[in-house]
Amino acid sequence: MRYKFVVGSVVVTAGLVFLLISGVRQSSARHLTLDMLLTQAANSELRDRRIQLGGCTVVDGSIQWDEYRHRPAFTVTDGERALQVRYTGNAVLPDTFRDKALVVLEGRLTQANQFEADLVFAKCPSKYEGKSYDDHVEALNKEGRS
Amino acid sequence: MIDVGYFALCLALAMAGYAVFASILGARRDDEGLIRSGENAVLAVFGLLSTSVGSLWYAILTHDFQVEYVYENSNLSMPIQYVVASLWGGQNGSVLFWGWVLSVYSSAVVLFNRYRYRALMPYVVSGLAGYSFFFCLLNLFVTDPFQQLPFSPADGRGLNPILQHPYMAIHPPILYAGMVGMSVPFAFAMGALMSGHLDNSWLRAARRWLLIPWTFLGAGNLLGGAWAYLELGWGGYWGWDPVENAAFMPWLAATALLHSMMIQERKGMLKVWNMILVFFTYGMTVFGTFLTRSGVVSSVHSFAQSNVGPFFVVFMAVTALIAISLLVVRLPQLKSENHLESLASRETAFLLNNWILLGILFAVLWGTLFPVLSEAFTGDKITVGAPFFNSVITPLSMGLLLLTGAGPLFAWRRTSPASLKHNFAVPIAATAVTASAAALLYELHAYAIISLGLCGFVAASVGLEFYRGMRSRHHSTGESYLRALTGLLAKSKRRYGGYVVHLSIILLFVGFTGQAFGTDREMVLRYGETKRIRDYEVTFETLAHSEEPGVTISAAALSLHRQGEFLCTLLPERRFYHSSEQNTTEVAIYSTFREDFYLILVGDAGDGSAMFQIYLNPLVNWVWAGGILFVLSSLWTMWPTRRDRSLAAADRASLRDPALAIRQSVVGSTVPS
Repeated sequence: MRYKFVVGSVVVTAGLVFLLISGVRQSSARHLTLDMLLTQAANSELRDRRIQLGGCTVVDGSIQWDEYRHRPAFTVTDGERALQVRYTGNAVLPDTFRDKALVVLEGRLTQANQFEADLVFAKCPSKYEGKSYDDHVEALNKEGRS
Repeated sequence: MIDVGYFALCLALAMAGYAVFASILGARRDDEGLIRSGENAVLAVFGLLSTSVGSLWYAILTHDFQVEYVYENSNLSMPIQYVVASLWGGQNGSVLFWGWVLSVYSSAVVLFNRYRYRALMPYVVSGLAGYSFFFCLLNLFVTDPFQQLPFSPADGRGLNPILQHPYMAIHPPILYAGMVGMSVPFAFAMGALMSGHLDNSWLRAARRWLLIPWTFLGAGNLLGGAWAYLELGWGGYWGWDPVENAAFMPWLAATALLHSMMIQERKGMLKVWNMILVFFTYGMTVFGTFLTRSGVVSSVHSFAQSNVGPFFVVFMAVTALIAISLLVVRLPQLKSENHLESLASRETAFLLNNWILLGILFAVLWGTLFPVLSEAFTGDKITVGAPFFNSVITPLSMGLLLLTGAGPLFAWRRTSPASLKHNFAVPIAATAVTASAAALLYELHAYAIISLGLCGFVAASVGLEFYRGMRSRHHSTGESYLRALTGLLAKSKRRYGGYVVHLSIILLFVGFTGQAFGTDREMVLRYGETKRIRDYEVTFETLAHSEEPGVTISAAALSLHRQGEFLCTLLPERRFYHSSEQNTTEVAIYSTFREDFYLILVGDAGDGSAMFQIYLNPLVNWVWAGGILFVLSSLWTMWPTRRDRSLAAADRASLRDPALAIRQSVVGSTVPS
């Protein structure tokens, strides 16, 4: 009885491990910050890999929509360096995608300074972030209310 | 007013601390007065936190923008229902609300068990009060919702328009009710371990209190999905985002627990395993909260990085340490009373079910934490996306479906080959029928055929159980079959209600299967132009712009025909909210049980042409139908039966001599069950 269960659990565990490993092979992306990406851009191996680019914001005023407002070209920045991005995906971009939005991009680096993104996540604006007092003053000044 | 809230919160912290202290000391000294005092302190925490929540709510409803939280999360132009909902719309308010929900659960536990589970209760109370203490502490020192600005802004920043949706307004409280409530079964388990009363009574209490948050959590997840489907405009309802996973993992653990509890109740087996699963279920809720609020895993819609992380880490470490060391101390008392007798038994099916549910949980956890783990071990941060989850979890859930159907076909202890043959005949025939029907209807999608075939298998197996139950009632009582059916549902709620829950899971799986064979297309249409997509003809009638206060709306009108027959007019919109400078997409859906025609207005070029995105999403409605049946059948299953009520009445009757009831150290009911 006992050995049957040992065999059973080994089979189940092996199946799970197989699924996990093959799943990771199928869909994984290397997460890089903009700084890391641009530093390694010369590295040709990077061109073939799927990359998730995190922690960038859309440069204010850089979004150039196509005529149907579907697939834009835009620039992202980490505050110091910048990268041109073209969106090539099918889905409609999230509503939260706009100037200065915090975005996470998935896709490939096609040239040294050109990124093709087929997935764009834009930070959901649920007001969950605690803002400092300075931000308040800044925000209020901008709205001309302080 | 806001100071009242803050002051009440301070008092609640002190009260919760006192409840822990009084309950433990009362139990140690066997001092009933002190135990009652601890319980009353829990009720006081509820009163105080209600005051606290009330005062924040008051500030929100009176637009007191000097309160930072009110300024951040609401404004003057928001519809009233969303102003009300902004109590839980932001981090700080939601933590306060979370603590309040916990106090509701704790008070309910105290009030329902004044004369029950007396040996366990002091420890249960101390556990719940300890958790409350932690949340009060968080609110006071890290996420203070009562902080005020040094000036009073004229208007607030408001809630993002995409969150202004009825489902999004009620989704958080329902989810919180699910996440928070998992602390009650955990508290009962800890109570059993601390008091040493390790018979099945804690399990009965834990089961009842587990069903409530389990239902909430399931409903909350589905509501979140429904919101995403209607509001986000990417054609799907589940994206395997870390935030979604964080709420899904405790539900999986709780589902495993609900099943393995039955084995302990019936056979006295799996005692240690059940303890671990209770720990795990609760741990997953705390871990999930930590995950989404600390910024450990970057998610598109997680709470921004905040400094609650270290608090959670310390809390989790302390709780785990206490729980595990107690379990180790009590191990000798948790010996199994029985052993598995045969592989062909219902016990085996339950055990396998547990393995698969935990396998799914592990896969979700693995995918969610993969970026963190890969960075820690290789230095490279690797992320996995939705395809990973789908490719791993689909085969596992097929195994789960198989077991859902096969379980009831096995007898307890052992099943003879003859009765196996007899039991499996009808369900296997049903599998063949649904699988071939699926193959004909939806061409050859291997997974879809397997999945729908298995759905047929489970449905037939459940149907068989009902048929047999009805037949035996019909024979023994002479009732008609219909009366026998209602009799089964009313009298054996746990068993037959549970089967109806299984049916709801089948509906959900039919819906999930649809994801395997949907299509999407983008098309540009001019005014008056008609295009075909499969057997639909869609005609772009017109497009109009309108200005409303604070929002510019572009709406398109399209008529939808199938094979010449008019179906409906679809009105997708794009809106632009001026105050938040944000666009939103309002999708238009023609929905049937066969499939959804899901239409998005991408944008118009201003020259009489516009681009649309169309998704043909098969079987989505089955998901919503399954969700509704899930909630109804779970409610039915947990609703007290006549026997439960009479037991409770007997317990109350012992009120006349409560001292006796307590001296007997009555674990469970005063009436032997």
